[in-house]
Amino acid sequence: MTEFSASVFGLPSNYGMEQFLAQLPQTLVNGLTLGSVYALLALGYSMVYGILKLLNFAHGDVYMVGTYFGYAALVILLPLSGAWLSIPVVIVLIMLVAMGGAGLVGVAVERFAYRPLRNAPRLAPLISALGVSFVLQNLVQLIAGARPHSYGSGTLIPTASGVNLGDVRVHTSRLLVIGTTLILMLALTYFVRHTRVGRAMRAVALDRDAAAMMGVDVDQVIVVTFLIGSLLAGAGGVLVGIVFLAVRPTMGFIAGLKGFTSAVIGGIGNIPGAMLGGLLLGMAESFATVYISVTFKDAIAFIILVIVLLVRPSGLLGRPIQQKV
Amino acid sequence: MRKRYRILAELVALTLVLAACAGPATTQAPTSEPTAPPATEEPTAEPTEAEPTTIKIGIVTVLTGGAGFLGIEQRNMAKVTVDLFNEETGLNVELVEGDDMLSPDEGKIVADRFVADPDIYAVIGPAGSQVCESTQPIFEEAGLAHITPSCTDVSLTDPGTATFFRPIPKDDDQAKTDATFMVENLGAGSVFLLDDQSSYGVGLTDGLEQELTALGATVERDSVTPEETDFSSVVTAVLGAETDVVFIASQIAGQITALAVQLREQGYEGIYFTGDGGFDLTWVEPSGDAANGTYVSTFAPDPHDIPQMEEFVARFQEEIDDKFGPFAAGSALATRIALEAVQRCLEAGDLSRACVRNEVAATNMEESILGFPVSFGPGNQIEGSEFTLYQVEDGKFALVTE
Repeated sequence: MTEFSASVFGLPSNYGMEQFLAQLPQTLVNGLTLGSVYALLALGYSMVYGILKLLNFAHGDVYMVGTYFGYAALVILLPLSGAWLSIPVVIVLIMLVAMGGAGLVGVAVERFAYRPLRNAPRLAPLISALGVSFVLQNLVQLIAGARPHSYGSGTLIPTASGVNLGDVRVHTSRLLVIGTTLILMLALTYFVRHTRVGRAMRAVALDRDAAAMMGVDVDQVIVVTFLIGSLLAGAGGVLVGIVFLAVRPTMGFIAGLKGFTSAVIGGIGNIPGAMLGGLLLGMAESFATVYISVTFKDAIAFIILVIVLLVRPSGLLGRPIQQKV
Repeated sequence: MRKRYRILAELVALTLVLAACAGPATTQAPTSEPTAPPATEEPTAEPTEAEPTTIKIGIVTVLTGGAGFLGIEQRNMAKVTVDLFNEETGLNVELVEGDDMLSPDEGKIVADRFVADPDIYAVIGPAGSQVCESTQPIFEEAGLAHITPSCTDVSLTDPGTATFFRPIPKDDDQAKTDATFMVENLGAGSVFLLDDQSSYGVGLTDGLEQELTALGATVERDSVTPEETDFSSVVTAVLGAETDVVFIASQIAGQITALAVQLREQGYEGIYFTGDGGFDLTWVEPSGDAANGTYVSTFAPDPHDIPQMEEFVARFQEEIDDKFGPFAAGSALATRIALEAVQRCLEAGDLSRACVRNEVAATNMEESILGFPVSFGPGNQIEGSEFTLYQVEDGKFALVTE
C-alpha cells in the first residue's frame, strides 16, 4: 500500500511509514515557521478589507520594502556588533527599523493612493493598488539593484545555535519567527479587544457610517489600520530574511498572494481567521513540499483556496455577508 | 474629414521621401556620383591608406538584469584584451557590444545586427547556453565565427556548427571532474543533486547523475526555480537520506547562501558542493561559518591565480577598476583567439569573415594567456581542457591541487 501511494506521489519506491514519520517533526516545524509569516501578512489584508472593503494588493510589496529596510539596517549594524551591541539587540533594532519603514510606506500608500479614491467605484482603488505595487518594486530595484541580496544570517546567528526537540534540530532563527509572531499576535489581539482605538476599529469595520455618527474619527482609524498591517508585514519581512536569507524586489508578489489566500481561507475581514488561515496554509505547503514535490509548492496554496471556497465560501471563520435591504 | 486624410497622405509621402534619402550610401553613390567608382579603386595600390578599414569584433552577452554583472565582466575583459592587442600591433580594432539580456530572442536580434554590420569579422559570445543555441543558426548562415566565453552546454558542440567555437570546457567535462573527485577524493557514497531548472543547471546535474551512478554512488535529485529560497523540503530529504555530498547547480549567490545556511542550521554535516555559481564571494560572506569547507568547481580559474594573465589583470585594474572573477578569463581567451585570427588574415591579405573563421578553426596556441594550450577538435570544442576546483577556507577561495 505504501509502495503504491509512494509511486503515485512520485516518492522513491523504498519510501515507507518509517521515513514518513522521520520527516514529520521537521515538516511540522517548517509548517509552523511558514504559517507564522503567512499569518502576519494575512492580518494586514484582513484588517484593511474589514474596514475599507479594499484588497490592498500592494501589501506584499510593503512587506518586501520592510525586508529591505531590515537588510539595510543589518548591513550597517552587524559590523558594529560587539560587547555593547549584542546580537539580540541587533535583531530587535533591525526589526524596529523594518517595521517602522514598512509602516511609513503603508501609511503613505493609504494617504496618496487610496484616500483620494475613497468615494470612487470599487475598481479604482484596486487598480491603484496594482500601480503602487509596480512602483514599489521598481523603486527598490532602482535603489538596491535587481540582484538578490542576502541577509547575513550566517554571521548573525551561529549555525550551531538552536534546540533539539527529539530528533529535530530547531534552529534559533525558526524559534525567533514563531516566538515573534506569537508576541505580535497577542499584542494585536489585546489592542483590538481592550483599547479605545481597537474598539473604534471594530466599530468602523461593522458599520462605517454609524461609527462616524457615534463620533469615531474614521480617517484616523483607517490610518491606524494600515499602520498596524504594515508593521506586521515589516516584521514578517525581517523574519523571512533571517530564515531564508535571499531577498529580491519581486519577493512581495508571491508572498502577498499567499497572505491574501490565507486571509480568504480564514474568512476575510476576520482577525482570528487570518491567523488560522495563515497557519493552515503554512502547514499545507510544508507537507506538500516534503511529501509530494517542491514544484507543487505554490500550486498547493491555490488548490486549497479553491477547495475551501467551494465548501465554505465565506472562509473558515467568516460569516456569510447579509445583504442589507 | 477630407482635410485630415490629405494631411495624413502628405505625412506618409514625406516619411517615404526621408527614408529614401537616408538609405545606405551604396544605393545613392551610383546615381549621384558616377565618378565615384574610379576613386575607390586607387587605395589598393597604396596599402597604407587602406588601413583605415574598420575592423570590429562584436561581443554579445548579458549586460542588464540580474545576471548583468557577468556580461559586464566579460565585456570589460574583452575591451582590455582588445586595447592591449591594439597597442601590441598598432591596429585599431573596435569592440562593439550587444545586450542579449540572457534571452534567446534578444540574442537573435543582436546576432542579426552583428551579421548585418560588414565591419564585424568575429563575435565573442553569447554567454548563456540557451542564447548560444538560438544564435548558432544565424551566425552559421552568415559564416561569421562566434567564440563563446562561457556557454557550457554539451549539445552546442555535438555536432556544433562551422562557426561556433568553444575554448572552454563543457558541462560534461565538469560532471566528470566533479563526480570523480567526489567519489575518489571525498569518498562519497550518497549524493544529492539540486538543479535550478536552467539549461546550465539541468545539463550539469544530468551529467553528474550519469557519472556518479557509473562510479557506484547513489544519487537523489530535486529541482527548484531560480527564485526559490525556501529549501526546507530539500533539507528534510537530505537529512533523511544520510547524504554525503549536497551539490547545487545554481548561479544565484542568494540561493547558494540560503541552502548552505539552512542545511547547516538543521544539522547537516556532510559536504557542500557548488558549480560555477559558487565561485563568487557574494554568497560566502553572508553564510558565515556555513560556507567553510564548500567545494566549488569552475570552468576557468580566477585570472589572479594565473601567472600568464598578470599583464591583463594590471591593465584591467587600471582601466576599469572593478572586481572580476572567472568569467573574465574565458572572455580574454575568446577575444584573444578572435584577434589573432584577424591578424593572421590581415597578414595574408584576405580580411574576410570566411578567412577569419578558418583561422579561428586553425588556432594552435602552445601556451595561451590562460596557461594551457588551445586548439580545436571535433565540433570546434577545445582539446583537453580541465575544470578547476576551489575550496572555501576562512571566507576565501583556495585552489585545490589534486
